[in-house]
Amino acid sequence: MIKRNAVFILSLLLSLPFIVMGLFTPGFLNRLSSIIHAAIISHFGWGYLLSVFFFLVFALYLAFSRYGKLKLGKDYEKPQYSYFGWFSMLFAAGMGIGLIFWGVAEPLSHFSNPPDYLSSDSRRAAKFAMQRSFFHWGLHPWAVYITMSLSIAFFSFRRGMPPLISSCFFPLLGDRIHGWPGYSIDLLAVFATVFGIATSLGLGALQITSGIAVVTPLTESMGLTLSIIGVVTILFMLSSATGLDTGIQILSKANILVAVILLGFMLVVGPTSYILNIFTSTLGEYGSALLTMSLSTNPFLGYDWTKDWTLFYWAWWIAWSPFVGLFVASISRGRTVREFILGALLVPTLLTFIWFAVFGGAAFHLELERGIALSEAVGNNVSTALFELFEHYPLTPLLTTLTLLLLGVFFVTSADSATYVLSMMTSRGNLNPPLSRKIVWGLLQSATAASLIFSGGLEALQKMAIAAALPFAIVMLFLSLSLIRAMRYEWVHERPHEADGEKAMDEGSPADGDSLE
Amino acid sequence: MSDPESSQEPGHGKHDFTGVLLPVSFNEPLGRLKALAEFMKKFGTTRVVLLHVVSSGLERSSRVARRMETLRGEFEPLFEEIEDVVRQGSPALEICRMAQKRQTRFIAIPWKKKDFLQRTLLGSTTQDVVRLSLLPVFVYKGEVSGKKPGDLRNMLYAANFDQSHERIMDYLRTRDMEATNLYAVHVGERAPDPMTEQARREAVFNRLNDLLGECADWFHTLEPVSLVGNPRREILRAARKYRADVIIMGKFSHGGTMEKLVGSTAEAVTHKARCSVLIVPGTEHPQ
Repeated sequence: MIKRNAVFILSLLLSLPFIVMGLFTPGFLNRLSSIIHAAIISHFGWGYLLSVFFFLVFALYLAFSRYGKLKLGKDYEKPQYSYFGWFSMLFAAGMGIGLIFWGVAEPLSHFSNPPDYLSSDSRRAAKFAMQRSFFHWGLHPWAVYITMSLSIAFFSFRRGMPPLISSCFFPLLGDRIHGWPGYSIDLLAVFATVFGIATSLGLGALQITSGIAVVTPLTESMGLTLSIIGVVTILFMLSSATGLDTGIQILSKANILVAVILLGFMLVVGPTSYILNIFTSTLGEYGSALLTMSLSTNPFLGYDWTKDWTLFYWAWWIAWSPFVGLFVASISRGRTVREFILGALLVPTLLTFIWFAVFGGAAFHLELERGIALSEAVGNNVSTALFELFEHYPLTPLLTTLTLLLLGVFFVTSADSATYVLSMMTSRGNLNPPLSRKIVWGLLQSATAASLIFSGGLEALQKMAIAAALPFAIVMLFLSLSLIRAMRYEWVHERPHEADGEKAMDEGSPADGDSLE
Repeated sequence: MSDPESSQEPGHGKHDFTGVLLPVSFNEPLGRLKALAEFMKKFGTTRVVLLHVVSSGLERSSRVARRMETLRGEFEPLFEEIEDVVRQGSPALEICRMAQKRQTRFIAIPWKKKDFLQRTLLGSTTQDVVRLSLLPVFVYKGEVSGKKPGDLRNMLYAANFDQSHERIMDYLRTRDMEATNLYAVHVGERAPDPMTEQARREAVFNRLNDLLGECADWFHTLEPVSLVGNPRREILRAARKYRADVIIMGKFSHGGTMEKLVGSTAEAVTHKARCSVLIVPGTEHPQ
């Protein structure tokens, strides 16, 4: 009984001290997490850059290699969801809430506070801001998610193992995945997810509060934020109870439609050709500078900027990857490796680029062409950036309401999928985890987010999530090794007719495995 | 690549240890060479070709001849036929060339330990011979592991069932290499999931048991061992665990990038093993 629930019990027991610390001694947790976070980012920043770049190369290699033909499921299986349903859920789980938060705020933040070698509020800073926003939200985060979700999908749907991160290590650890090495990997994943989701939901609740204060006579207050968390909790628990097929899918599709409406409206009503120019130009700059940006720590110029932004994001994506990876895997059954990688890498990235070009471009048009100091307002309160932008466009109340709706639904889908993933991870990979477990995790997440907003320990817990990303980056590098070994094994030993000329190469010395199977 | 069974020319194709090429640098202690000779006698060796390769150009021919004569004198009472050859050139190339020319059945090399710096700067003739030779190469380490000459109790066959397997079975099925215990070790790659892994292990054990069944007449104890992991590390670990006196293994070049960079498993095992190693190439001499 205890062994069966080891990950569930241990993850609860080990998470609680941090949550309690965040509640009662937020100052201490903040100091502790700041020290760990600063040490990791300062000393291992290069490791994050190299790892994330490796994941991108790895994903591209797999997509175009012979393994691209393998299916994430049995050979006869068809994809469970339509392209629209799949892309909607990918986007909702992977970016969603963050993109609404940062769509305007990030370009304007880089514009006001660029690295030392650029003067702030300049046109060169604007160009830099757009390029880096594309970079931080483009191919790299999706490569991190893909590495994780591809491994989980391959080992669970194709090889019949439980959908757990520890399952992906069978080629390396063997039966030890059912012992402490395996439990430790799953525990680390649960930590990163609990801390990451709690802080993300907390930040989302704060942004919704700001939005409501803009469109209604209500003022920003703790009571309002807590009420929002309460309402959203009820909604996502209902969604969670209805299951993945109905709840999250319908909400995600609806959300994508709302997002596209918002995007289309801003593109048409806003400075269309200015936005399209920014999109085209930044796309080119992103493409040509991809390698440089991927590996640039800027040790001579602006390392602090790299630490505060790029390294923060990379650690954040890695910390999010167990959650997004498990969720994305669960919706990708039946797709081929190539289809999965190219779909998950290119479509959400393109949509993200359009989002940044439209909202960032509209903001820069106001700032640079019309002399409206939007960046100043954003500097004062990042969560109001999008609403500040809407103030200068027609139908402001409608746009703000739509955005609040979007935020609310993304909030619900994120919390719903996080609850599902946490319950699955702590019930030995059960694809239909018990409702009681979903309720425990759902309530714990919301209670943590609410309590941390109240105590002010939200950012401290976010730093703990980022600290958990370092060991997880190492776990992910081994994950890649394990995945490639498994795919290679299958190709060489189970599909020899397709290995063709390569077969002879693999029948030789024991250095490359046996030739028995 | 030639078919092992198609070797019709006298002196080739028969897998025994009757004729050996023994390269000598005259730096080997005489005791070690004598111990190797004892070992070879146990293998049924009757004919020895002593080869010295002059590579520096500073060696005096009279001195070389004198040393060769001494060595010949030591070996003559032990073997039916002794031949000595002195050549100039690259040691590894000349060893392989002369073994082929003199139609010996294998090459026996007394192991000389070299540290990392020596190996890096000067290279290792033994490893070069292992890499280049199309004949079996026996690297004798009897003294290194503290065994008495000819003391052959535990033999470990690192089985991979590749091109060299049938040749190795020829050796194992003869009385020439008679030892007390035979451990057939297979190092494989773990399958991606537990069920496939179970099936893989069963298949490995079946093949190892078939293999051991063929050798049952010549050994007291036979044990199949299936391992998972890095072949070079696991073979060496198994050799230590079963206190192997000789490791016998095949060699087949993939031509892969890793092999080019770090050498083959056979080269690594030859270098790191504490006991003697017999490397049997997967490809025979072209006839």
